[in-house]
Amino acid sequence: MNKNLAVLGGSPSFMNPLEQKNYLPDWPQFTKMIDGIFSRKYYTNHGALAQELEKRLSDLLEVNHAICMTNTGIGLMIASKALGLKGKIILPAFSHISVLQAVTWAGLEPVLCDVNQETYHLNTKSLEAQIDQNTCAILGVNLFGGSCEYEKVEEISAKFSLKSYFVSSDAIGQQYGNKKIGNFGSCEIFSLHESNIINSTDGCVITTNDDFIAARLRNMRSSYGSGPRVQIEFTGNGRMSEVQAGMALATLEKFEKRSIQNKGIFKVYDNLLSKINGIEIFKPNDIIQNRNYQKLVVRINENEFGISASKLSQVLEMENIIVTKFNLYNSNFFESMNPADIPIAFALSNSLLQLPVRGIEIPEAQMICDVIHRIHNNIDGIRIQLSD
Amino acid sequence: MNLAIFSGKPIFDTPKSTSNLVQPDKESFLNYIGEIYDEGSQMSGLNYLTLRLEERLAQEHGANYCVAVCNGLWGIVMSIHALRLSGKSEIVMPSLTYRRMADIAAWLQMVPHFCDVDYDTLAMNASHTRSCINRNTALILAPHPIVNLCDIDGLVALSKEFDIPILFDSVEASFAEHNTKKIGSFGDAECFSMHASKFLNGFEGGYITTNNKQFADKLRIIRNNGINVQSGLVESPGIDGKLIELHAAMTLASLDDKDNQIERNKSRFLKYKEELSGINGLTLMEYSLTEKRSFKNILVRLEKDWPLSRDLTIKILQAENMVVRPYYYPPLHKKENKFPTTHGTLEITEILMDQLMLLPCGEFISLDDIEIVADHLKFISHNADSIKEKLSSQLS
Repeated sequence: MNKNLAVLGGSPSFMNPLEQKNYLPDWPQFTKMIDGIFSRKYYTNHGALAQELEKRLSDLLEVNHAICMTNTGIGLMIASKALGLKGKIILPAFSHISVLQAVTWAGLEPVLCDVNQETYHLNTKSLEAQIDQNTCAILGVNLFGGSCEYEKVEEISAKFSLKSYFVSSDAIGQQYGNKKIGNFGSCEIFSLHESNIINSTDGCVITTNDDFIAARLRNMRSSYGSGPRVQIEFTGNGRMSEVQAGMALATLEKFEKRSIQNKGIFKVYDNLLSKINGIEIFKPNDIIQNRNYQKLVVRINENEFGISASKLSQVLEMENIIVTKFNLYNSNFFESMNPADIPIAFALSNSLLQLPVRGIEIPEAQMICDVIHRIHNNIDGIRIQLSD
Repeated sequence: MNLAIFSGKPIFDTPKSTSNLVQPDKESFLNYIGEIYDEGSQMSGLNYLTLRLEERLAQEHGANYCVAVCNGLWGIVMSIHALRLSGKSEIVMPSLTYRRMADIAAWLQMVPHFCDVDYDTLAMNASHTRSCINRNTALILAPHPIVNLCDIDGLVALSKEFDIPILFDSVEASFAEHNTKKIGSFGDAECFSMHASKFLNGFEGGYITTNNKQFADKLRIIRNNGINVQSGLVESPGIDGKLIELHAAMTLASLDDKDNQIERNKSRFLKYKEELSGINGLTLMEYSLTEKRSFKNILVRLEKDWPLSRDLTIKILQAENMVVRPYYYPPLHKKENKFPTTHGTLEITEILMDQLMLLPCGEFISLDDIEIVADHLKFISHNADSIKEKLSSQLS
């Protein structure tokens, strides 16, 4: 393939934009699920499908309680309240804005902790220095199939009598050491948004082994499926509807199959991109097993690769390859988001790109790698072109 | 008549609910969702069906703007956040209302100021509301009662007089009219729920209608985690508050059935009206027949001369598989709230709280079922003494 890159005047490598494709049940399976809901005439309020989903997720994640809610932001708001937190909460500076919003709604004061340069996750060394007498909890956010050092976070929490909990969406189904992720801290939250391998179009599941926390979460979510009554401060509506649960059940069936497919795609990227200078695929620590490979990010070293992550995404877009950027800190709304205080997170957000995995085929991944190779081989010409 | 409370055999095999649970046409739902359902489609976020629903609801309510959200509770939270007077903490709301209304204030770190209601309309009126307004008042939250409307004109005038924003919770007044003007553009904004038990069944969901562009723009940012879609910037506090396409499709299908549903509801209401007339001590809360109403709920008042307590009446009917329920019980000021609340005298609320009872309504109830419910009420009314006697001998 010697054709010219689009940025240099050629035609795009893909005729149509190549985006990640969300996993949906096929139409006959979808209509069958709808037939069931319409014949039961039961639409929400912890119905048959929501109950089935919770059971299946607690089996998959090998945890006592799996509690489904309408989306991750609301799930995190309710979880933060259910843990009875008050005061300051430490969370990684590299995460999604919705995490910061949710803990703020729960009445907490977020304190951003910069992340580790290599692991992209909570820096447990600098974390301890940020704890003061008003700190009540540590919230870990686990990204791209990696995780923070759970045992260290739990150790620090115990030392300072803090609660710890985690948002672990990309780690669903994975193993950390000899434990399934979902069994750490007071609770863990997994997004079931459609960008995930198991998805309810939007939704989340909160896991815990603590019966009391589970009861509080259920009591706060809705009066249906609330189980034993326990004292809570107040409620919030976190119900997952039957159709959301039905979608998640359908994608859950294919979890293993899709993890294997994703691994195949990952291997293609790993083989073909590892030879390029200045581009590095994120790989979690070996303690993590049974990866679902649902997200793949690369770090672009501008000096070595020749152009920045942002420019690379622009060039790829001209080839009709849609990648995700992480411009997380384009806000002066949260004062704590001062780039000078969180230099590593800030640098990461400008150097990472998420490449397509979900719903794409191996030849497409090969083609993307080929395009990146050609970009790298023509980097001088591209730089001149982009500077015009 | 052999009452189930004695015989153990209920008259209805399946529970007869006080929830609407209207089922839209399945094919209509599948047609809507089918328009976007394809391998890899985006089904969450602000997509085609949500935008289409917003446009249609704005039109149906005669409002300039509609913002759809994940559910009614967060819709009210977000609306108050956008509308409230800054630096002030109190929300004036009735005590006799939706059981989670005070929790809404708690999420906002605000204080519910419980207000008494009018004996006839069961809703806040201007004079009760006026007595609750003080220098801390940030917003008036006025829910319409489940039958008819609250005093819209009086409350809007009061809001203007004090320059305090007013938000209506209009879910129970969906598609009604006030002086020939549609519910949906009164006050600063109106909130609705699309929970399956409501007039529009969207599985879950909510929406807000308004004529105030600035408010609508602000609300769209809040529901999107505070992110302004145009600029990509985080501009305000925000919630993960978006509606999903599956729920939008269901609501669109429910909307298609709107007029038919109103007809079905009306015939059930008229049947109740006919059957319950002449029962001593029992008053049906009647819908206006001259202005548009959606006739969804059936509410009765047990007057002084009703021979049994409400609790006992409910117990007898529930034994028959009639899911009869007390109206908004307990009122919010009677709950053990774990957050600050305040209230003045609530004399009428305290009278009403033991008087009102919701009867089975909605799509699971046939006209024949209504006859059975009414026959039971008549029987109870005529045989109260012997029922009481039999029950006390059972206990002893």
